[in-house]
Amino acid sequence: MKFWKKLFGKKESKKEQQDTKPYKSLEKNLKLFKEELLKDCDDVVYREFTVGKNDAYKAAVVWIDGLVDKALINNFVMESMMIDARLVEPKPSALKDNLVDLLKNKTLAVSEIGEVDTIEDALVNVFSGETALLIDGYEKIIIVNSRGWESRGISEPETEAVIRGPRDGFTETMRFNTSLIRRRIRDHRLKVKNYRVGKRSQTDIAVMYMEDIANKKLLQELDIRLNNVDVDAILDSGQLEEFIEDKWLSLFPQIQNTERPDTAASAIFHGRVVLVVDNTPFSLIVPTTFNTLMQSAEDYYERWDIATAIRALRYFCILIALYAPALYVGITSFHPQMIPTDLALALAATRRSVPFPAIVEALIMEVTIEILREAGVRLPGAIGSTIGIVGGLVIGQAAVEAGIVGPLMVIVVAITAIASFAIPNYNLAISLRLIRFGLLFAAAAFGLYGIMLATLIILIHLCSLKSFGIPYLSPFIAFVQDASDLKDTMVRVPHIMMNKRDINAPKDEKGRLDDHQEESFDIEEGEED
Amino acid sequence: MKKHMILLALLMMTSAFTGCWDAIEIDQRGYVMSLGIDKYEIPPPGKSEEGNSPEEEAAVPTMAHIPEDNPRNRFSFTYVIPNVEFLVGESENPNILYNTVGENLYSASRILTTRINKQVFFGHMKVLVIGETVARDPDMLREVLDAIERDQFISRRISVAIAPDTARGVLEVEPLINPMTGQFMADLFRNKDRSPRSGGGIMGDVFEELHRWGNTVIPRVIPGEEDIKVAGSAVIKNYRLIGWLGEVETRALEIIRGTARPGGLTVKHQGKDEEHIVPIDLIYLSSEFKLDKTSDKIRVIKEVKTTGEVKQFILDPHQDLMEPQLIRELEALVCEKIKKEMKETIRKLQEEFQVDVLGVDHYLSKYHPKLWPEVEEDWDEVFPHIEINVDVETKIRRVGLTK
Repeated sequence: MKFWKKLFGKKESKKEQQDTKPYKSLEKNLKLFKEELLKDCDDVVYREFTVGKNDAYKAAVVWIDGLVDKALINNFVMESMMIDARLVEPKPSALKDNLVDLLKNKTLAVSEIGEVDTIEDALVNVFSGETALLIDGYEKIIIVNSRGWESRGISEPETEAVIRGPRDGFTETMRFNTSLIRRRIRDHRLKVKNYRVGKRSQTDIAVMYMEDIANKKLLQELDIRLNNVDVDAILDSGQLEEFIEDKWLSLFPQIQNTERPDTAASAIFHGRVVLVVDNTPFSLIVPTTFNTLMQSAEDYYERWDIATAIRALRYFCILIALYAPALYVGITSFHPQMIPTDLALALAATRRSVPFPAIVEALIMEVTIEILREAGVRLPGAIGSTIGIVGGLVIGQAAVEAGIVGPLMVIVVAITAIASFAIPNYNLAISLRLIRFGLLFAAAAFGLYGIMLATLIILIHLCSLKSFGIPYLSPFIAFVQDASDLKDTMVRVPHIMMNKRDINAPKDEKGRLDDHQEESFDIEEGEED
Repeated sequence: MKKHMILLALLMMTSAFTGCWDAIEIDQRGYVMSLGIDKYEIPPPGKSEEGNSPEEEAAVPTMAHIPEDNPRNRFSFTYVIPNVEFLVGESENPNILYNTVGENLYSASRILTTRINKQVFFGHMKVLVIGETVARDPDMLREVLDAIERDQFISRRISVAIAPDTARGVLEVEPLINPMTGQFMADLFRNKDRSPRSGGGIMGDVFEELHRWGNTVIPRVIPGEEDIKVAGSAVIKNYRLIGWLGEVETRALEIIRGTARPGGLTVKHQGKDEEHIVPIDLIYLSSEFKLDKTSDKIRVIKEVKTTGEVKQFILDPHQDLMEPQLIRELEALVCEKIKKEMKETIRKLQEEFQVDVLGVDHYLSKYHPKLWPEVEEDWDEVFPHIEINVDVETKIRRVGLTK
């Protein structure tokens, strides 16, 4: 809790960022850059030149090598100013006062241009890939948009692959990502608000939401939390997630991440808010409920009956991923009367040579499979699959033959591992992996009774959990007023029946389909009958 | 925060310090699949040495000690524990029999742990076999059944049977088709739908009837050389075995009680010049009691409705089973046969045993709450004198494939 207060409590420390006004003299400004602020920054490029017919005005551009589109600077900044600007003959008086306007409005053929008042702002912009244009005698710094760095092309999202559905995924560039979302929402009510988080990293974050559907309180809360993040660097949305989520002590992820622009767009259409973080292909979606973590984009693209069956299967997989090893231990150690006699006898026969109690047996196999998983992530692709075969087949088979574990345990562990991969959200899957061990110990200590106790504890925790004001277990809890939200949970009803937005949308913005469409649908159905 | 953590740690530790740990690994338990209960009888001197040949001695490692004659030795218990080594093909003996004598089931089971390296576990018990000597003793049967009922591990769904001789004799048989005696017998009970020649047999149902009236029927189990037969039933009156019902009588009883399907029935049909044997499978049965209110005596009518399928007639192109007349004749024959069997059984129960295991008491108490209190007190005396009529209706709906 202390940490929490430190994070979000009243800030005592003074604002660290100082505002330095640029000097009037170009020389002084450049000196400030070269010898103080950007000393030993060899990737900074300075280019000084003169403007005007009589070379009366000195100017300089500053940019970071590698972050800018050099062709743009050459053709539309340098050329314009050094050659084209000479062709116009401005009145001296006009020049005196409005040189900058002249440059901005008449000379620079660049689409985006801005001004900043302080050195610090200018630097941040330069580091983001803009070009700073300094003019002698002018106290502001002109920022020319010239971003253009090497970046990865749009590729298929690896963690959320689908069989049917769009194959474009977010990349590391925030602007690409917001454009991918914008392409799906051609509506002026889609808002994109920029934030900068991280004192040193100054990471760009775009908050995207639908103005009329998104909850105002949620936006306020998000604004407060984002502004209160006090950390030097945000390198990935995962870091940001931890700073802005409700309970960082909880095992459950309270913020969903996605690599898919269609998932993000769909969330926005439901009144949720997407945070696109620069330098990572993973965008965040708030608020998040347990239910949304169990949804996959494909559910909405496949036929509804198949999607429903798959949803149900996924919830079943959660049960397996959580309980299978615990049940094995509980039943073999405490309650053998609960399984069919034949199975009990077969188990007794195969476990006869196993020297360890069931909990040790389970731990050996579970830890082994966790090691295999971790190793599989580190290993290069080609060797990775080999390790899978070696680990899965050889170790499992050999362990049984060596009499360290029973054959059923191998099956249980394998099923558990497979089931945990069926959970669409990796974030949730890894927390379940950890909880599984807790349940395992509970089962080893108290049998099925222990499993029930542990389950109750987890449920109590889940019930108390909230993500940005939305109960984590909604719509499963308190579904009396939001009963229609259940249409998109363990079942996925046909789209035509999902005519209401869920709990995230304000009460008067629930309708998704216009009445006309619903009516025409009813009529069509009537005719068929 | 710190305080809470320490408290939590202490709480967790207490659970580790109770010496009472329920965890027993699945291979550390001895699964008693069937339990036989006999009355302890002093073995005739010299018999135990001669009775068991050396092979038998090896196959059945029982009698680690010869019990002394002691007033505490009232029961002789036979535990059948399947040999898990046999399941993986490492042993020849499918079952291990332990025989122990004792005053009651609990202490005998405790004493048994001095002889086996496993925990005696009743959670997978399938069959309880009670020897006739125990069943005839009013106290011993009640003691045993109470112990079974109180045990939290023994399921209500286990089968119970009474052996005309000793229970041990039944359990020593290793049926050829499935040498696991307990499992084998449990499967036999499950076959009841095919041929209802044994009555009741589910522990929970037996308890229910015993708790209500003290009367019930329990199937009879007869050992063979290499198989076991479950057929016929023992009639229990006032928690005591008073007699046996044969297989056919049991079937009639089961039809009256409405607890089983009638199964197959064979009638002899007199054709024009020859007699045909016609087995008929009766596949559906509705069975209900009716009280005839017109008479002043208690007069109960049993209405049985069944439909059937002819399984065999005679290969004869001129005789067609499709003829309604012929079907009617067969139906009449079936009705007559069932009626006769039922009447015979009712007579036996009313006159010989004088015990109502037919369920008349159940019916009256349920549907005639005004009449029942008048007769409830001395139902045992009333029952033999009431009139029970049987009304059977059969419809033959299928004759099998023809031509």
